[in-house]
Amino acid sequence: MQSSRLVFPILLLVAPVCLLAGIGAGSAGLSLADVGNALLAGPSGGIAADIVWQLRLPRVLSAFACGGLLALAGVLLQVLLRNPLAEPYILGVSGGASVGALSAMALGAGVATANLGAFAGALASVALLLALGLGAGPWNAYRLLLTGVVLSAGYGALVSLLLALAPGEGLRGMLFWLMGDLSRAEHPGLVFATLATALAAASWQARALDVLALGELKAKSLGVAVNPLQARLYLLASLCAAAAVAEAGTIGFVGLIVPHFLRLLGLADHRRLLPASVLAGGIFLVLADTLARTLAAPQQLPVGALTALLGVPTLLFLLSERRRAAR
Amino acid sequence: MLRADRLTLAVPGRTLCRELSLALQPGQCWCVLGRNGAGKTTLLHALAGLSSPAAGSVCLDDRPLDAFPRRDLAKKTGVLLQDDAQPFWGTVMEYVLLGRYPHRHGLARLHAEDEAAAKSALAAMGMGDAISRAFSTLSGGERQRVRLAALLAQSPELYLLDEPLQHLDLAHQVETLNVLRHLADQGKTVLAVLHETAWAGRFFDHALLLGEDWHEAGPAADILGAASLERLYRCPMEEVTTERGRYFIPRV
Repeated sequence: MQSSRLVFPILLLVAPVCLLAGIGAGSAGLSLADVGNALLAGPSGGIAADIVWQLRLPRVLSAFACGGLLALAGVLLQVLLRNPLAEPYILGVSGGASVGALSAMALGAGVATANLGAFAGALASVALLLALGLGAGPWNAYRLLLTGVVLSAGYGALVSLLLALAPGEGLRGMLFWLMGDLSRAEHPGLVFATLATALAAASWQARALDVLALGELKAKSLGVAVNPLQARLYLLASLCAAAAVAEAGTIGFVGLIVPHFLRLLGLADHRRLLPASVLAGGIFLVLADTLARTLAAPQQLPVGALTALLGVPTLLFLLSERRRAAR
Repeated sequence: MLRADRLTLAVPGRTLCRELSLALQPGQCWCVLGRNGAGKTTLLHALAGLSSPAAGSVCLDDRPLDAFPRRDLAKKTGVLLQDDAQPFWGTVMEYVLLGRYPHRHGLARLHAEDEAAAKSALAAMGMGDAISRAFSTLSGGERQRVRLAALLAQSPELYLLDEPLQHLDLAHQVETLNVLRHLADQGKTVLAVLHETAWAGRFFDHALLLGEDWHEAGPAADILGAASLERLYRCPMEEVTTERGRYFIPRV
């Protein structure tokens, strides 16, 4: 399909436009010229520069990097678990992170500690799943998936308990965290570094991913050392999800919908699918977050609700288009 | 080339074959026949190094299979599996190029050699016009031919095929068998699990019959006959001899 070759260049063009629009939009509206001047003037160039450099830029960059991380984790887990419905949180990474972050919040911790709690919770959940889901036996995607789903249910119960026991004034912050909240995003540099590292590591395996996507036996017969590859992919995907969830809370749908969207456009080759997913995930989350900030301004909406509201109709439309094309 | 020594195969709860020894030489074209569930696929996987036998050993060029790095093994041994576990989203050409995986390194760009191998493999399977079609839009038989082309593009020394003729119409069955025969004539080693008994005597020079508690292996002229196939399938068989070869068909 020749049209699939156009997808990546188009994404590459759309991404900066989207970032600029995200910086410009908000309760203090800035024109494209204002944004350009503020960016050129540097961090200490008046009120507009303050808004751009202190508030909008970190948030938009964080949104982009988190969207990229979630989409990347989605691609990797869909190959790893041989399940098109796999998403970054399916193995309980977000559940562990939620328990960590909400515990920290319940104890009255600030933003930085809560984010740290989320990251620690995510990593603890990865370690727990590896210990329980693999045990001593060989890699088994099915058992790993089931164990992850069961653990997620357990985390869900803990989250409910934490919410029930939380003091009233902290509840709103907790609920927003659970639905994804980029207003707390403060480390765009850190998430970008994670994203770049993870994308490079995943792209290095792109050919092996192409083969593994056809099944373990097929990959083995073509010369892939399947089990070590699966372990690497699992750790990589978990790291992506953990970094995203620590920065922005649990944002659903990006990791599920973006890889599907691109595959439905005919992108199968992982050398192109991986970077395209990162770009598309970033664009998608910047758009969703911009809408979350502006739709009911000055009120902010939970970005997780908007990713689902944007994502559901898009994917349904693509599925029906594809069915029509196949007929 | 490939030597199996006193192989015992088991699936959970059942032993499939005991003490099977087999030696495949370059230029030979083997068929493996047996009833459903006799262990043909399990044997093929063990010979390909995709699973470990319960007992016994498999050696390729006098070296145990598990002593090979996976990629080196894949350069020498190609496998056609019965099915793909997952759908493929790309084009026919992209699918066939996956067969070149063992020959490609890291993220290096496509070599002209890889592309040429993929194109000639597709042409050999009569799918040369379909290179830019989406794999998912192909029919069952067309997919099977593309899967065969991917194996040809891999260009190993030893070809292990699990039901290569499934989903193929009669003309494409013959075409595929001619391709396998041609590979053996070029000095490659071929072993195919088959249900199309009629072709066994016409295209294959060696045969392995996998019965329930017995097996027999050797030159097709000695092993294949109406009586041995009757014993294997528990179905009356007859042999039809023409000037081109022997054909076995059920006597019903």
